[in-house]
Amino acid sequence: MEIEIKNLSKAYGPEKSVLSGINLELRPPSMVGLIGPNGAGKTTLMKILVRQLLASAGSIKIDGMDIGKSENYLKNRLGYLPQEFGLYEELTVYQFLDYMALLKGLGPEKKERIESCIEKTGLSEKQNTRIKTLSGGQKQRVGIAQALLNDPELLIVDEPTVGLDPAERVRFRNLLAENANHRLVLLSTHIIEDVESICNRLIVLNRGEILFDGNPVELIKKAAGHVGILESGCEAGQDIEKDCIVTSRLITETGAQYRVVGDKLPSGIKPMTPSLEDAYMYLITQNG
Amino acid sequence: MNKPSTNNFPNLLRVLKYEVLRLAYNKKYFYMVLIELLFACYILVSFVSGGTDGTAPFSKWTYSGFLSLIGPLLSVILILLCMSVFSEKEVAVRNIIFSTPLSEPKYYLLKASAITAVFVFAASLPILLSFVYYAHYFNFYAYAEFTLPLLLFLLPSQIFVLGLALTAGRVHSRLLYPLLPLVLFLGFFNPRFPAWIDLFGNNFLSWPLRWHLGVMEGQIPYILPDDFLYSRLAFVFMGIFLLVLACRISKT
Repeated sequence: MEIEIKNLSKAYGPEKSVLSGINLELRPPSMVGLIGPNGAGKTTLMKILVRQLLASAGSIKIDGMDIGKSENYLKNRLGYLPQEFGLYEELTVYQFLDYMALLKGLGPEKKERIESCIEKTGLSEKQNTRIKTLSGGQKQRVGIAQALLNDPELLIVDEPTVGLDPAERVRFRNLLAENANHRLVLLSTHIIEDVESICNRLIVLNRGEILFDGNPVELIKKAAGHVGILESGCEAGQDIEKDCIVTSRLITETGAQYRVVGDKLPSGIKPMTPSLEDAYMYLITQNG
Repeated sequence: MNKPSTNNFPNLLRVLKYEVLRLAYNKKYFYMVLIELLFACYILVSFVSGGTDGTAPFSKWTYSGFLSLIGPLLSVILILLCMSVFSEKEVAVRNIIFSTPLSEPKYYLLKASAITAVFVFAASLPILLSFVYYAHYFNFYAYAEFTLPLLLFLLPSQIFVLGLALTAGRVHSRLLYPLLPLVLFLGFFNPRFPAWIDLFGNNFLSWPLRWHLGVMEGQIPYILPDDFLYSRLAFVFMGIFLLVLACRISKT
């Protein structure tokens, strides 16, 4: 499935613009990480893509067809896990997936697909358990299982790891990566670690505008020469923060070690190879 | 693996089975039905046994009175069932459901159908109880005679309440709360409301029937005034109109 977004804008009233002038082309197979701070417009963009919100201006084409005229075409090929979602907790895992499979219009292969998704998400032992007794991570896995039921060409996942413990987060990331083959996966997050290891394309969104669209290496290159480490006394941190962003602060035997990102690094700083998080911070600070 | 064929129209009947299961598998629903049954027992023993306006306990008039008395509590059950469609939990699940090919009108139609199915079950219990009561105490088995009272004193009010509750819920879920005291007020207070506001028919039945219908001698025929019949039709049409309104598409 190919998606073409042109001059997309969304505003609530004349003064609150959430997205403006978004232009994107998305093609499979691709794992696209949509990152940006809270309030950047990531969720709004995703809701527009799944037709839960209407854009104020601009156009979206799905395989060359206007999204408004091809809603069923889109939804038959879509898997969506929203940031905030609920499950019918009185149903068992299998019953809920059966319910969703019926809504998605799965035919004779329904049983096979449900069982496959249960297995993929590691819920085999819990398939006859009522959802209300599951942990947060397990519920999240039920969420991704329902999104995968129709073997979607387009998988949209919004902030899937928020609230998960580190082990569940890693497990969830791996699950997404394993199921990304041949699909177009759009993963929205503000956790850089989530996209670092699995996405081949990054889109950085801030204040409703695209700041960067490319692969992670390109983003890292942009921050080369703008990241360094300073070892100093604990009181030095406040001075550094006037010119730079301190991305980490490590207390050492001799004082403190600051990892800093900035357009012009203060003297005495040892240059470092930027990480994706450094590059992201650099980009955000450069664009206010 | 082959791509699932999503061209099949969703088997809404099987989805409906899950919806009914979810609504019925609920403590709130169980207790409401229990209260309704206890109330029906009380009405049968205290009101029906004496008959209405000198008519037999198994007359259509007495049965109409019985229905007008259990109607408000049934409406409360109906409104509580409608509340489940607009609860925070349901709204959260909707985020997922609306990413499937199920359209918004079909979603609400599905919910309305499930509510109707569960409600019909809830309403049938006090009615069955009344049948058992008539059979046991009066050896009366001609239940077909109660069809007209059921059509006039139960169906219109409940169709109207269903439409009103779903429409109110779509405007704002909190609008459902004032409906609860409203139906109880309309159902249990008899300040001789005119027919167009007499939702359950209890105000009409609170008049002395002979005087009201102008039948001074003999049996009181089961003939209802035109304005009352028209008001029932109006409630049915308004209920259906509100139901259609509730199933509309809304996009922001």
